[in-house]
Amino acid sequence: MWSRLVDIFHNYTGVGFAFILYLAAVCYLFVRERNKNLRFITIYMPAVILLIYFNPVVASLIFRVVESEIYFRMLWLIPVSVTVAYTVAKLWKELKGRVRAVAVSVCLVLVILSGRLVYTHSLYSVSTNVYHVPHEVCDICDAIMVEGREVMAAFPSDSLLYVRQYTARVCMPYGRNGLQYGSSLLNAINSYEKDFSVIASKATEKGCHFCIIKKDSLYLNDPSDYGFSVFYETPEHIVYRNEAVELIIPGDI
Amino acid sequence: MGSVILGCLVAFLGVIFIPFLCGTLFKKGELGTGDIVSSLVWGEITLWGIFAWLCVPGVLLKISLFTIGKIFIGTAVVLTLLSLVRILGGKVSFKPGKIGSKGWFVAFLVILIIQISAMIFLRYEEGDDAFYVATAVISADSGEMYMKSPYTGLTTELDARHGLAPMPMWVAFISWISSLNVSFAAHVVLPILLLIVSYAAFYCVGERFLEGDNKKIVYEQKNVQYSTGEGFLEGDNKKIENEQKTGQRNTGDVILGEDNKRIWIFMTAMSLLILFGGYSLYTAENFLLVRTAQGKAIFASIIIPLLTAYMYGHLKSAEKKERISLKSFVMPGLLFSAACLCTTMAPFLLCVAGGVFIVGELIMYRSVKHFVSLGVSMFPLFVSGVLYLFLK
Repeated sequence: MWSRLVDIFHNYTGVGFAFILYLAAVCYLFVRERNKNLRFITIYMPAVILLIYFNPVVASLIFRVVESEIYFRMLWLIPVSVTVAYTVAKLWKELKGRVRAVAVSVCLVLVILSGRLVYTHSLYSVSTNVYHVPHEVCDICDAIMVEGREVMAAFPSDSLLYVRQYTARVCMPYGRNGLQYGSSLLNAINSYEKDFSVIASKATEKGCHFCIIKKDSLYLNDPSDYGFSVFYETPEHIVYRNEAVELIIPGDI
Repeated sequence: MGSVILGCLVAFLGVIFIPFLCGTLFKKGELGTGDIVSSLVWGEITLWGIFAWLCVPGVLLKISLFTIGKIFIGTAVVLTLLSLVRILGGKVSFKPGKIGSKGWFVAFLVILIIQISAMIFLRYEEGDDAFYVATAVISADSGEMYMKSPYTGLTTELDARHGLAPMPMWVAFISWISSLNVSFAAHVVLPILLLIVSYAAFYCVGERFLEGDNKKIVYEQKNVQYSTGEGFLEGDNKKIENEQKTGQRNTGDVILGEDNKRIWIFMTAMSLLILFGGYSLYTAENFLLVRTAQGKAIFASIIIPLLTAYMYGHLKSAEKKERISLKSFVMPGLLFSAACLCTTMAPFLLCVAGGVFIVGELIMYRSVKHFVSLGVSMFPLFVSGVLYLFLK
C-alpha cells in the first residue's frame, strides 16, 4: 500500500522540481508569514492533508470506495500553485528596490525551469477544424449520416475517440476500450491483412451498415464478394457499405 | 458563420454575463474590481449549484435534459431579473479600480492570450473526452441523460454513478441553448470561458491572501480602523471613498496601489505556473489547460481555489467572532453543490478538506457557531456521497 501511495505521489509531482519550489515557498512562509490564518491555509492544512494522503488506513478506505487510479486527486487539495504565486507576490512586498525585481524575476524563471510547457506534450497537434476532431472522421461521419435515424459503423482504432464526440447519429459496435476488451471485429479491421470474410460476418452480426478500412492495407480477398461496396473515400480511408444490413431511411418508407 | 458567432455570444451570456449578474445578488454598495470578479465566480457557483440540484434528480428520475434546461433557464431568468432590479434600484453600482501595474497586467494578459490561442488552434488527444463529450453529445441531441453508452450509442441501463456528477449535462445544456456543435463548444468555446472563470477564482484567492497583509500595514501606519465589509477588495473601496472625500492620496493609498500591483504579480505567477504545469499529467494546472471543460478540471481549478478563498474568509470571520448570517450557509452550500456537479469524488475530497479545516478552525478560535455553520452547509456532500455509495 505504502509503495503504491508513493508511486502515485511521484507520478503527481513529476521530476519533482516544481514540488521542491513549492516546499521552498512553504519554508519561506513558515519563517516570514505572520498572518496565522494564512499560515493555517498554506502550511498546516496542506501538511495535515499530506499526512492523511500517506495514511495507509485512509487510503485503503478510499480505495474501496473509488478507483485507486484517481487517488491522486487528494493532492489537488494542497494549494501548490497558489502558495508559490502568493510567495512571489509576498517577496515583492518584503524586498525593496532592484533586489525585489531581481528576486521576483528569478522566482518566475525558476517556475519556468522547474515546470514543463503543457503544449510540448506529444498528444498535442495542430487542429484542422473547429471541432478538434480529425478531419477524416468528420468527413466520414458527414458522408454516412442519414437524416432521422442512427447508423452503425465500424471504425479502425485511431478514430474511436472521436466519432461520437462529433455526432450521436453514428453508433459503433465497440467503444474506446474495444481493443482492451478484445473485440474480434476491431481486431479484424485493425489488422494490416484484411480478411473480408471475417470482417463481413462480424460486421453483419453486429448490425454494421458501414465499415471503415484504412487504405494502406493488404486485402486478402475481394470485399465485393462479401456484400461490401465502396460508399465513400477519403485520402486515408475507404468507407464500405455492408449490403447485408438493411439501412431503412425514414423518409423513404 | 453568423449562427456560430451568435452561438458564441449566447454561450458568453450563459457562462459569463448572467452568472456575473446573479453573483451581484451577494453584494451591495459600490463594487470595486475584486467585487466584480468575485460576483462572476460566485454567480457561476450559484448557477452550477442550482443546476446540480435540478439535474441529479432529473438523471435519477429519467427526466429529459430539455425539461431540466427549461426549469434552469426559468430560475436563471428570475435571478437575473432580481439582480437587474437591484442594479437599476441603485443598491449595487460598479466602480472598477485602476489596474495599478500595467506591466504585470500586460504580462498576465499575454500569457492568457497564449493559453486561449492554444485552446483554439491546438488539439489534445484526450481519452476521457470520448466519454464526457460523447455523453454531452447524446444529451444535446436527444435530451436523454446517461441512458446510452457514450462509446457505442447503444441503449444501456441508467449510468447513475456518472449521473451524480452531471457536468457533461451542463456542457450539453450550453450547447443546446447556443445551438453550437457540442464538440466545438466542449473543445473551444467553453474551455476559453472556463479559463477566464478559473482565473477569476484565482484572482479572488490572491486578493484575499494579499489583502490581509496590506490592511495590517495601513492600520499600523495610519492607525486607521478598517472594518470587514461585504466585498473582497474593501481596500479599493476605501481608497475610492478617500479619494472622493479628500481629493488626494495618502500613505495607505500608496500601499493599496501596491496591492493592485501585487495582485497582478500573483496572477502572472499563477498563469506561468499553469502554463508550465505539464511536468505531470495529473496536476490541476495540466487539467485546466488540457481537460478544461471536464468536471474534474473545473473542480480542481475553480472549486478548490474558491474553497481556499472561502476558508480564509471563514477563518477571518471566526477570528473576529462575526455573527453567522444566512449567507454563511448559502454560499458554501452552493459551492459544495457545484463541487458535486463536477465529480463524484468531490464528497470524499471535500469532506477531507472540510474536516481538516473545521477542526483546525475550532482549535484556533473555538467558535462553535462557525464550526456548525460550515458543517451544516456540507449537507450536499453527504447526500451526494451517500447516493454514490448506494448506487455504485
